Parts: sequence; C-alpha cells; structure tokens
Amino acid sequence: MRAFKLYFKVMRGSLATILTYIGIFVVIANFVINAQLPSKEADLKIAEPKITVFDADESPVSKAFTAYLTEHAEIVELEDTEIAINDALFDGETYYVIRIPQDFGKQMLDPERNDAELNAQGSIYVHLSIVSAQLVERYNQTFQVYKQAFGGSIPAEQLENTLDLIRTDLQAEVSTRAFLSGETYKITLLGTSFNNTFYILIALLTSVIGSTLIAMENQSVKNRDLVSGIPERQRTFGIFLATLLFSVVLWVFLIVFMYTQLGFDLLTDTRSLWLIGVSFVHMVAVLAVANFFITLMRNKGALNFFSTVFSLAVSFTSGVFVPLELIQAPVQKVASFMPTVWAVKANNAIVHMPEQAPDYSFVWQAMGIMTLMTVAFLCLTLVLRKSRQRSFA
Amino acid sequence: MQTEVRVRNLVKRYKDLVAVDHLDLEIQKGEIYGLLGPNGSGKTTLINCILSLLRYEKGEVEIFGEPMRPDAHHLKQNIGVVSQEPAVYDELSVYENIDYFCGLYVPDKAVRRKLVEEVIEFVQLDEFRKFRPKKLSGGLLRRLNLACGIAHKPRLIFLDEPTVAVDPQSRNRILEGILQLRDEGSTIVYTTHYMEEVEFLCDRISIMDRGKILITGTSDEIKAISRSGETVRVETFDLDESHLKAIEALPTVESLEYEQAELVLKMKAKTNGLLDILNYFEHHNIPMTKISSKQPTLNDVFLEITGKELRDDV
Amino acid sequence: MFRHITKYKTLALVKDHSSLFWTLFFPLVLVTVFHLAMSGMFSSDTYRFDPVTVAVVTGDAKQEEIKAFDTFLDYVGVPGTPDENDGPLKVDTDPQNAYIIYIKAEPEEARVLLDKNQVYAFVEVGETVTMTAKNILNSSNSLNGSVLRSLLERYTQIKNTMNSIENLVTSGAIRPGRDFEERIRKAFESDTGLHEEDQGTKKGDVLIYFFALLGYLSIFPMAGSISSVAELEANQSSRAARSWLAPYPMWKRFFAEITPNVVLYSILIVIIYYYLGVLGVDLGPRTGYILVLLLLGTLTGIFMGTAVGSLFKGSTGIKTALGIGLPLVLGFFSGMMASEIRKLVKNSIPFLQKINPVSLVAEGLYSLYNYSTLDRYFDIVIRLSIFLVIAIVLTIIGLRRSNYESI
Repeated sequence: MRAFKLYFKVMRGSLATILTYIGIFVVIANFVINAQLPSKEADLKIAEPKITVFDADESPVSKAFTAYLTEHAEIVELEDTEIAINDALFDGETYYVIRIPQDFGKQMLDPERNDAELNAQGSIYVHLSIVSAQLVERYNQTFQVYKQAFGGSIPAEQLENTLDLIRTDLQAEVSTRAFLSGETYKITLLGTSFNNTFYILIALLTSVIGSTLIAMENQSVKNRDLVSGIPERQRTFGIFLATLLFSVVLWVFLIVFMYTQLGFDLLTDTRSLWLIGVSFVHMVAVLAVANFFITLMRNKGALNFFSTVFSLAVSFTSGVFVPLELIQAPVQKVASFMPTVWAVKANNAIVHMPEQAPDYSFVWQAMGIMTLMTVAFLCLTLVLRKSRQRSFA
Repeated sequence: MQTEVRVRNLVKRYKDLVAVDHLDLEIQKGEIYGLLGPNGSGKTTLINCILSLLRYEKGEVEIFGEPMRPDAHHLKQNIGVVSQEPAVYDELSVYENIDYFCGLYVPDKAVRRKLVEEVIEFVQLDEFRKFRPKKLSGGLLRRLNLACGIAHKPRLIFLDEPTVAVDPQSRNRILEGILQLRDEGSTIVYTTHYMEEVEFLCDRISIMDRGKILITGTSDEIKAISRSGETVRVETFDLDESHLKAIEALPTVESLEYEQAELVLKMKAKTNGLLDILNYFEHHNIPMTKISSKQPTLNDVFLEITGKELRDDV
Repeated sequence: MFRHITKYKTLALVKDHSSLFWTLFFPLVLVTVFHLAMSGMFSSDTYRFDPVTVAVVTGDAKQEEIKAFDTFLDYVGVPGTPDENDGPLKVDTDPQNAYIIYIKAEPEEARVLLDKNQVYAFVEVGETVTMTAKNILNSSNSLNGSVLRSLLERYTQIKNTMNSIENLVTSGAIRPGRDFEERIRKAFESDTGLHEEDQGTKKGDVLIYFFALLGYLSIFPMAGSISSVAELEANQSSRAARSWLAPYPMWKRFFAEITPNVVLYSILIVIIYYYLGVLGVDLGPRTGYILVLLLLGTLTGIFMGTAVGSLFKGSTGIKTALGIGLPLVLGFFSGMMASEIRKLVKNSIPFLQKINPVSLVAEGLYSLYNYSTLDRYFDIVIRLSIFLVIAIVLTIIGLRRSNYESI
C-alpha cells in the first residue's frame, strides 16, 4: 500500500497540469455540445444549400431563374468583392456563388443552344456545392425541354406562361420523415462526445500518469523503496492500482460532465449504458498502453511531446476526429493495434443499433479485443519492468 | 580602511515574517567576512538584498561606496556570487560552463581564455574540463560552481555555503582557494553554519539569527564576550560532600556536577580555573586518574546568545 | 556579449539531444500522421459517390405511377439484394454510374431493413413521394440524404413537366412535330453551360485541416519559449539568478536567450512546409508569402510563450500545461480536429475567430490558396503582427520588474 499512497503524493506535483487539462476539456466540451444540441424538432433535417446569386442580366429568364433558386435554397446576400465572397465560402456562410452573365436570357432562348453560360464558385465543403450545381442543372434541363417542346424556340407570347410552368413543375416537394425520434440525435451526439473523451483520456493519462510514473521510477528513489523491504511485485501492483484508481476518477468526472451537458435522462436509454461500458473498457486499455510506452520511454523531457503526438496520432487514425470511412484501409489497419479504433467502431455500432432486433455481438467483440489488448500490454509492461530490474541487479 | 559593503537599517519582510530586521553591517576591503547563523536565520535573504536581487522594505545598501540598484551594472561587473545550489548548464561541459558565465562579465575572448584557464587550474578541474556536470561528483560540482562565480576575478565575492555536502578533499581545496582569493586582494563574504570553517577562514564574524546581527568581531573577540569560561573534567573516585562544597566555593568556579566518578566544572569566564583545580587536588592530596579542559567554542557562544545549536535545522 | 550568450544557448539547445530530437521529430510525426489520416480524402476519387441504398415501397400506388417510378429507378440505380450478415444491400453488377441501390419491399420489410441499417432510407411511392430515414446527421449520412431527396425531387419534377407538356399539347399550344419525344428526351439530358471555378474546391476541405495544422505548428513553439523565460527570471532557477547578477540588462539577455529559439523554430517550420510538399500536399504556388506567414506565426507563438512565462507567476506545472494545451485548444477552435468547429466558433464566438492566431495563420493560408488578390492576406498579416506586438509588449511588462519579492 505504500507505493499506492506514494503515487498520489507524487501526483500532487501534477495537479496543476491535471486541472489545466480538465479546464480546457470542460470549456471545449461545453462549447461543442451546446453548439450542436438539436432543437426539439424530430423531423428529418436535410440541409438546404446556401446560394449567392449575382444577376447581371436582369432579363425575365434570369429573374425567373433567380426566383426558382430562392424557392429551393437559402439565398445569401453578399457584397460583390472577391474577399467577401471567398470569406463567406470559407466560413460556410454560402456554399455556392452563381454569376448570371449579361446575355444569359438570350442564350437560354437561343434555338441553336441547349445551355447558357453561367459562372459559379463552390465552397470548400464540396458535397454542398454538388447539390447546388444540381439545382442549376435542373432548371436548365426543364427549360430546354419546354424549348424543344415548342419546336426549338419559345414563342414570345408563351414565355411568361412557360416560365411560370417551369417554376411550378420544379416546385415538386418530396416529403421527408424521420424514422426515429429526436432522442436518436442526442444519442448520436453522445456517441460523438464519447469518442472525443477518448482523445482527452489518452492525452491526460499519458501525460499525468507518465510524469508521476517517471518520477517514481527514478532509480535512486526506487532503490530506496526496494531496500526498505517492499518486494518489487508489491510495488508494481501498488503503482498499477493507483494509476487505475486515478484513471477511474478522471473517467467518472468526464462521463458525469458529459451527461450534465446532454441530460441525465439519456441514461435511461440502453445504448447510453453500452457507450459507458465501451468507454470504461477503452479507458482501462488506454491505461495499459500508456503504462507500457511510459515504461519503455522513461524520459521526462520527451513525455510532453510524446503525449501530444501519441494522443493526436491515435485519435486521428482511429476516427475520433475524422469519420472512419475517410481513413484509408492501411492506416486503419495500423490503428487497429490500438484500442481506440475498436472503441470508436463499437460506439458507431451502438449509435446506429437497430431498435427492433438489436445485436450487440460486435460491441462484445470489440470490448473483448480491447480487454485482450489490456492484458497483452500489461504483460509487456511487466516483462519490461522485470528485465530492467535484472539488468540493474 | 576602505568599506566595500555598507548596509544601513535594512528591513525585508515576507508577509508577517521579518526576514531581515533593521540590520546594519559594514564589510572592509580585503577581509573575509563570515556570516554565521542557523538555517533560516536570514543569511541568504540578506545577501540577496545586498545584491538587489530581492526587493526590501527599508534601508540602504552601498557597494564600493555607491548605492546598489538592480541596474547598477558597473557595480555588478566587480561582484562574484557563488550560490548554495550549483547553477550550471547540464548540457555544457565544465569548460563551456565557466566560459559562458565568465563571458557575461568579460567580453574579450583572449582575456577570457586566460581567466578560464586560470580558474580551472585554481579549482583543480583540469582533467574534468570536458565533463558534463552530471558526470561530476558532488565535490567537483561545487568546485565548478565556485569557478563559474569567480572566473572573472571580482573585487567582491559572495560565497553562500559553498561547502555543503562536499568531501573533505574538495572542501580543503575550496577553503584554501578562498584564502588565496583574499590574498590576491578580493573581499569575501562567506556564509555558513560550519563554525570550524569560520574560525579557520574569517577575519571577522557576525552571528545572525532571526534577521538580526547579534554580535560582530574576530573569533577570539566573540569568544571573549562569552560569559562562560572553560569546562574542566576530572576523573576521581574519592570525593565527599565537603570537598564538593569547598570546590564550588572556589572563586573561579561557576558550577559543578559530580556523577559516576566524573566531576564536571563550569568555570567563570576570563579566569584560569584549571590551575585552581589542580592546586586544590594537590593540596588535599586527592587522587585523580584524568583531567581535561575545554575552551568555549563559537557554538557555545552561539548557544548562549540564541539558545539554539548552530546546526539546528530551524 | 549578445553573440556570446546566443552561442552558448544554441550550444545548450543542440547538445540537449533528447529534447532536440523531440522538438524536430514531433511536428514531422504529426504532419505524417495527419497526412496518413487524410490521404483517404486526398485520393482522386474522393468525391466518387457511394450509391445510396434504398428500399422502395410501392404499396397501393397506381399502376402508371409504379411504371414511371420503375423507369426512373432503371435510370438512376441498380437493384440490390439483402446481405445475409445484415450488412448494407449488395449488388451483383458494378454500380458504376448508379446513384442508388434499391430493393422493392413491403412496408414492414422496409422498416426492418432501415432499422437494421441495411438501407439508408425507404421511399414510399404514391401521389407524393415520401422518404424516411433515420434522423442521424453525420457528414456521410447527410450527403446521402441530400442526394436521395434531390433525386426523388427530380423524379417528381420530371413527372410534373411531362404532365404540363401533355396539357399544352392537349390545349393546342404545342403541336408535336417529328421526333418530338426524342428531342424532349435529349433536352432532359442537356448539360448546363456552368463554369465552376475550380480553385480551392477540389481539395479545399482536406486542405483546411492542413491550414489549421500549420497554424498550430507555428504557434506550438510557445511551450519551448515558456521555459526560456525561466532562464531569465532570477526567481525561477538558480542559474537564472546567477545570470541576473551579471552586468547585463535584462532585455539584452532576453533577446540573446530567445534568438536560438527563433532560429530553430523558423528552420523547423520551413522544413515542415517543404516536407508537406514531399508528402504531396500542395498549398499553392505562393511559397514566399506562405513562408512569411508561417514565420510570422512562429514568432507570434514564441512571444506568446514569453508573455505567458513572464506574466504568470504560477507554478511551472500550470505554465507547461498552458504551453502545450493552449496551442492545441486554439488549433481545435480553428478546425484542426474537425473542420465544422470553425463554423461553430464563427457563429457563436466570432471574436475568438478574429484573435485566434492559429486561426489567423490558417485563414491566411486559405486566402493565399484561393484569393487572386493579396488584400486579405495583408489584412491577416497586419492582425497577426498586432497580436505579435501585444505579446512582445506583455513580455516586456512581465520582464520589466527589476528585482523580486521572493526567490
């Protein structure tokens, strides 16, 4: 028990670090969760494109086209300067900027053409630009269909009527329904939040446990402990127990904080409990991994760098920040030697779990793999410590 | 004689604690001035105040006859400081460390090279010049620390317990070196709680406690001030009550104790009590197997003044 | 004297092999990891769209409705079969140009398929078309949603248009000529004359991560310069106390102390830039401007560190944590971990966006990549310079104190 108590005494030195990191986490989590909390609406929401139109033509055709866009997208007014436009595209204030040139109407009506020149600029969020481009394409196609129906050119007296027809044709609404309630969105957000705690846990556990462990593994301190008659085994056990206790306390704090943000009523949802379970198994696994690397490294100066690189690297390759689908298979393969990717996959499975016939076998499997990793890394650490002890003796 | 350091009415507080309490002090050119006191008595604080490293509430500090301020660079140029803690770069070698700190005072490369060589010779670190501090033993590290502080041949040197945790060989080397520095013309302020060092080294000594200087003088002067005289111990078996009374009545005896065949006598100050005792024993023909006498030490004086042992960790 | 201190500080920096290794190694590893994680998004077929899986419920729709919808399905999709392992719908043929993979199902079946995530949505055909999906928003799913809705909309629109034209024919406004149907069919497939400015769009949303990463890496020297200040303040180390006692003004020592850091990190950020080039991340042709911005960011990071180091009287633990944590947080708010965060910050705390140096560097890089003029770039350079000047002033205020209350 001496090593156990000593561990916490040594850890007091890292208190400032712990509090700073937790403070940072609280601020960020609070911000992100509150910014994404859904309104009560349970409808399936499909984002409407945001479009900016500059009409240099102002012909009846271009006006009808603009009116059509207004019905199908959120029109964003912008100052016509390169900076204003690019800023808006960068910040996601608009997704698509359309420039209607002067003879747009003429070109549309031209019997020799089946299109008209249009300039557009898309945002960096490419998929949102694609939807906007489709809007433009459809208007043109429908317009061309009427032109061809009239035999190649729309008679002047029919123009107004035709433009009205095009608009009403295109007004077709598809009704969308959400299969599940708004709670599901909250569970998704909870899943994402759980994923994000993985990063905080990896960063905090490696840095805090690391600095304490390295201080305790200082050879002269260690020797003093060992000559005092405490068996090495007991010392190792005490340290492991202490790190576990610290991690559990930290983990409980993170979880409780998350639920205070999202609402404790979510705890009644089974998926919520599964998420907590996965998170716990992951925490223990990360602890084992951190213990191993720190024992391997034993260098206090390198620890801060290591902890930053390691936590970011694992998080990025394991889908904590970027969706897993976007990460290439070889990278995912490498990442799968770490517990985090399994926890992320398990969380994704839980969040998307069917309501009718839920099947948690994959989640079990992932937790099993993480537990095996815990055991493996623990054994490696013990072997490492043992060999160090011998080489010292 | 020229005064190198003059402190008048200096007060330094840490919140409620008065670390330096209305203190006056003068240090003369060419002397080794010892500042003696238990841990926590305010020695280091006093030095840091003199150096303007610490802000103080009240008082004046003059060095070389000029007021000392944080930006008095022309004064700093002629001061050397050797701190308690070795203050060196782990990444740099012995030579590089000395050259670096010397270079803060001596810009000229050629001059500096000569000075660095001299000081390496002086602290006898020649064979370790390429070593990194981590590879040095405690004593060698202290010598390096000393070298870094004095390489630029300062006129005034502050040595703050430079021999703590040092092996006897290094310690002797350091003490000899300090005498040599004085002989070369430097003024030295030496703080310690080892009184043997002070007795051996210092021309003048101040005893300090609770931020105050209690007494200043040469070693002999201080001991002379003491109220108690020598302690005489006599080993004798046949001493009855009447003898004890008679001895206690002697004019030179302050007090006595007799236990397990040993008579311990505290003599009055400034008396030659040993002779009196010998005479008494001879006169009454009392046999004794052993007799010894011990003069009062600085430690006794200190104990007398402050009620504390010098090496007390207060 | 300046050269003397700088020389030895550089020596000390270079001789501390472990720290030097990590200082150099850390950013390069981070960049590599980033690149590996993002390379999936970089590959040319990133925006190749994976077909959406759909269950189609015709129920009691009219025969002609069903027929029309079947034509539509033929046109945009391929039929699929349920996966035995409850995975998404499988296809026999290669769904190269298909937008959807569909399966015809009874209403109950469709619900089960959706519940099990075997299909993204189910569609009920009738007078109106209804699509039902799980209410889950994440980047890939919301794209599925928009594409599917847009396809269904198109179906309804075409149906409407055909009805309207039929009405026009009936009313006599249109007299169908030869190859009438053929012309209309062709018209439905006509391309637009849309010219999309390609600049920045293709890799934009991946590059945004790298812009933020570079912003972070230019601010990250903060941690290093916090510890440099400890070498200056007599109350922070015994070595510093010794240097403090030398006849040398604080500000000169400060610049001598910080110069090796500036040089080291400047070289480092240039190496990072070229290393990104080697990895194949193209940040655009304006190398000179990019480097100026990155170097300015690095300076800002270093002086942020000295400001924190000299102003905060707290424990080294807090300072170290701040030195590591603050750049990460600023990076996070600039979208380094998730690009959506940038938008969230922009909307809820716009002020933060304007003063966050990581974000400023990221925006500057974006403007160099996308804007033809340099107005925005210079605007950012000025803002960053103001930030730098403030950091320097704060450092001076922090260091100005000439002596100490306690040591």
